[in-house]
Amino acid sequence: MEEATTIAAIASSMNDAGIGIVRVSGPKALEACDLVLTDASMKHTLTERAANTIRFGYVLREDGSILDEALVSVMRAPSSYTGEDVVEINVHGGAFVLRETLRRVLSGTKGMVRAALPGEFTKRAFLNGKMDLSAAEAVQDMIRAQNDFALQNAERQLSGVLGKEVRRMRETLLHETAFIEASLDDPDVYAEQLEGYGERLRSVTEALRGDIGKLLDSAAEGRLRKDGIRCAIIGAPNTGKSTLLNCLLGTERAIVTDLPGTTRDVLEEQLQLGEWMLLLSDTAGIRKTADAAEEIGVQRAKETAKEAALLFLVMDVTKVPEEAKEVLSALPEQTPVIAVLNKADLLDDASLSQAKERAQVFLEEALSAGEAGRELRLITTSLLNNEGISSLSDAVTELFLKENTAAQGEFFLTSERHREALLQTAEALKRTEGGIAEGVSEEFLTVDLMEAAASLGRITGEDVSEELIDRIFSDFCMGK
Amino acid sequence: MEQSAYDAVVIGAGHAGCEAALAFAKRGLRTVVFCLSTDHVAFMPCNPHIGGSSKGHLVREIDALGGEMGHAIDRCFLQSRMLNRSKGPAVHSLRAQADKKQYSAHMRRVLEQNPNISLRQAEIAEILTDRGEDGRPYFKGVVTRTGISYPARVCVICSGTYLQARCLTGEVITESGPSGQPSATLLSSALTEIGVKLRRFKTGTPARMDGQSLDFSKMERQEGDVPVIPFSFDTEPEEVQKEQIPCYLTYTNERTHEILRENLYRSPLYAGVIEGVGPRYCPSIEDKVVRFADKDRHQIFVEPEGADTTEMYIDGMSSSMPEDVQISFYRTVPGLEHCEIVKPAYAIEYDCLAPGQLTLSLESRVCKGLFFAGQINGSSGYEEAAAQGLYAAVNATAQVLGGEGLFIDRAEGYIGVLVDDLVHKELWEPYRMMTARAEYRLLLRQDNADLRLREKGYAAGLVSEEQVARARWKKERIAKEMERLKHTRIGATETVRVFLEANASAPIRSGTTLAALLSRPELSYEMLSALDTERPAVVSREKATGTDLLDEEVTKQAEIEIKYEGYLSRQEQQVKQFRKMETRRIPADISYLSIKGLRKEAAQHLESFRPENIGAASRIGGVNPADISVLLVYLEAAEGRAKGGRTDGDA
Repeated sequence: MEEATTIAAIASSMNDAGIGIVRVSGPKALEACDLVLTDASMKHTLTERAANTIRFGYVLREDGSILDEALVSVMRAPSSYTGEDVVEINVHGGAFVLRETLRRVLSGTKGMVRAALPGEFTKRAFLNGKMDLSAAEAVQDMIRAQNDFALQNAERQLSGVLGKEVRRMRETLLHETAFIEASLDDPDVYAEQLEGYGERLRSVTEALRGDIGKLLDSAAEGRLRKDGIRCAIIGAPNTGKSTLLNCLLGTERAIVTDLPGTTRDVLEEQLQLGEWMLLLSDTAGIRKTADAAEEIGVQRAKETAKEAALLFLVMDVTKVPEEAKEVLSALPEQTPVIAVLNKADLLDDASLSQAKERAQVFLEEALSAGEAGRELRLITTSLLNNEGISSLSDAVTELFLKENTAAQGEFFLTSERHREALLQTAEALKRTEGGIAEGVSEEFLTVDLMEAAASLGRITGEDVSEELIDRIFSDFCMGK
Repeated sequence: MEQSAYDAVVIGAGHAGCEAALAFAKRGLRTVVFCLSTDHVAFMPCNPHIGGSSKGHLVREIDALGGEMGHAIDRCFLQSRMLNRSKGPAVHSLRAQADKKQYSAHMRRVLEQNPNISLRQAEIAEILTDRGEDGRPYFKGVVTRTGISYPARVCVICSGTYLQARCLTGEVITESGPSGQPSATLLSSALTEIGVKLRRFKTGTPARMDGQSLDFSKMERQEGDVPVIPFSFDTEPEEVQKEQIPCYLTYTNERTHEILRENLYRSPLYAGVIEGVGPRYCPSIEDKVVRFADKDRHQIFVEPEGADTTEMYIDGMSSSMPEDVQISFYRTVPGLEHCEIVKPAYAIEYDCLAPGQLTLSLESRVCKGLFFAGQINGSSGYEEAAAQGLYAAVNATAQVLGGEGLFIDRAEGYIGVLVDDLVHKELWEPYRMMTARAEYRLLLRQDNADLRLREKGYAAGLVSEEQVARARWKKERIAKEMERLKHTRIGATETVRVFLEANASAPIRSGTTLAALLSRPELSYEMLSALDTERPAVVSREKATGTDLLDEEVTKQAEIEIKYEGYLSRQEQQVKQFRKMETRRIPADISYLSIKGLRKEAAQHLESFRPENIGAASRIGGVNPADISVLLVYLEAAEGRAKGGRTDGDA
């Protein structure tokens, strides 16, 4: 009775180290996963595999390269958790890999798979008779709880740019559709205004598709996850910049000496820090120098800082603010800063907290941070002793996600559902343009326009049909 | 005193009542129809036309089901137009100006000539009920104001805008029904006594003017279509070709709006005198001026009320302003400078059902055998009313004679959309049909209403053997013709090249089919006859029916189905999804408030509308997808327990 779609979600906690699981369930689970998975021999497809088997294989990127190794288990209906065909993809536990794997399953399978709704696996398990009837109430509660949780998450995400944009786009679509409906309903009054309307509508849908593209590209979530966050490690000489890099990488990538000015070029590294992929650039210490080679390094450091999305400002906690002047003048405006107050081991607890407070006041002023200003976080570290790295990772998460992500992957799934909805909106708009190009009359165009508005409505949780009727009456003077 | 000869009672002889009475009578039920004035059967107290966008669809559907409205308007129209002709077929809609007097006379005659129908002028004062074995009240009969009781099995109440009606023209309030008719003052309390809940709705109508006082030379003339297309599938096109009467178009202007704004304080609506909720799709002119302040003019249509009267209807300018204000603002409109008002505009308030009191058969939830149709259900419009009258009567008949009754879903007809919305929505204003309300409107065309609904009308006993045979033949013939078009190959010959070039259509490189060419926007079925050498002859409907020949209705359908195949098949996919939800029934005795995990808001809404199935539940306001999931799990568990079936998870 329920539509027999195939659904996917991350089925393990996002925090677990080790192995994480992406679960795919539904009639097309095997067929779909064959498009994004391969077994080690690259010979056998999942559709051919026997039930209840696990094999080693790979998750493939769009270009066919390997995203991660995976253990892939296949269960067939009705002998699975949900009672449907199920594929479980066990990948290395990092949040990044898990998410990329889910994203591949959702977007690389020709529309066969959609993101699971809150509690949907369990609901299916129940409806397919996989659970004792006495579990019904527990299942009902679980659906409710997960849905409330997802709604809260969505709410948080939507309070930002995405929400505003989605609502604006939805308004635009409803207004255009309402105009078409008004003119079809009352042709004596509005029909003339439909002349040449296709071209006007096309400019609207094209603009909207552009906006959706930008949203998908530039939404902090989307692009940062795809490309990583470009970070510059910056600071006065010999504050511990290269040590920070090495701590993060866990290797001796940069040459560390206690001679100021050792790093004369920009070093780049890519690493996974908790949730995030960071593209790290270690830079030369910034100071006035007569050394020509060092001066070039300083210039490069300044340029690197300009391109970065995040600055790690490394400072000697004992020398704030004395040595900071030269460095601060090199920082671009607005870019968020995490001030790493290093060498905490040189101070006792009391003087450290005093020093931190002083630094806070000084930096807020100097970097024009604070309310509505630049984002600033302060952490103290003792990099020599490898202490404080976790607070660094927390600060990144705080800055870029603004919310705790400890929540079972639902957060990401919420945004993945949003992404899916945006892509569907863009497709529906594209079809509208196809219709305009063919010269079909407006009542056909509304089929796609309404689909586009409905897709956006899935993001904001708003129904379309009643609202359209309201819009017809509120935007256009109807009735004779 | 008791009159005992009746099976069915119809209260009200408006558009709903007439269709209801005829539907009963066709099945042999002895039917008594009560109205406040037998001289006002099928009276049109507001606009003088039938049909229009989406309403034209309703008339076609009523006709396909065996109703009378289509026949009636085909005989009484003054002018007819197919709206949206330049658009696709789904939004083509017939609209005809009616001769009001003729229309009423026609309906009265049809009712009077039917041996199963008795027409009575009486006001109903009491509804008699009793309790059945299940403890539930059921309908037993009615008592007139003058004390005569009429026992019967079933009743359809079609009280229109007459219940506790009052009309407002400025400060003047008249306790009366529309157009000076009496109001029904006793039925409301009779209904509340048996547990029916009522509320107030409001609507309005513009002034009628003496045509001799108008200067039509200052207005644009609007002519009817030639040739006229009939409403009814039974009417032969030749029968409706006749001389037509024009309508006129003029505009309001800044001066009109100024007068309205200056006098707003005298409008009962803005002064807060009117309690009822008025419709947004039919705003009064003062409403338009306030709500659309940036519009510098509004269109006004001047339409005849009949062939033998000079009265004209001023469409687009309804108002509840005092008459002196009306005179001054109407006279600012070009052509209306010297207008003489025959009947001033007024707003009318009336009782109708509060939401959530009907089943999908349009039967009361508190009283078995008591059905409702028309404006009392919160709708507006003659066509909406007529559709409900027929629908309710068929379902009431099923209660008397047994059988399935009539059910139409949202993907089968506008009537289905109408009934589903009236039953499940919390309406805030009188409900008017719109094509935008029909999710699957590309499939619900006025041109295929017979293909969609004739079988249902036949099953309901309202459609004759001959009528259904015609629809069945048509269906088969269309399918066959489509097959032929899909399989007839067209080679890339010189003749074809020349033909395509002449019609500004892209050349073909290799062979193709007639269907592929027909799907090109620039080519029509008729044009393709040049290439279609094996096409059967296209003859009249009469000659074609039952044979291998074609008629225009068949070729039109084949053309539409092929031309719009892409969009139509997408809608068919949507319908499949929709039906899956629609077929999942919800037991009638479910108690939503006790379901764990269901949000309180959702439970309350579900409790008050008590949807029949999961699809309907999902359309109720305040119910979200997670609520539906919870409901499904609950139903599954409840049914599992009832069957004593599943107890273990690994079954």
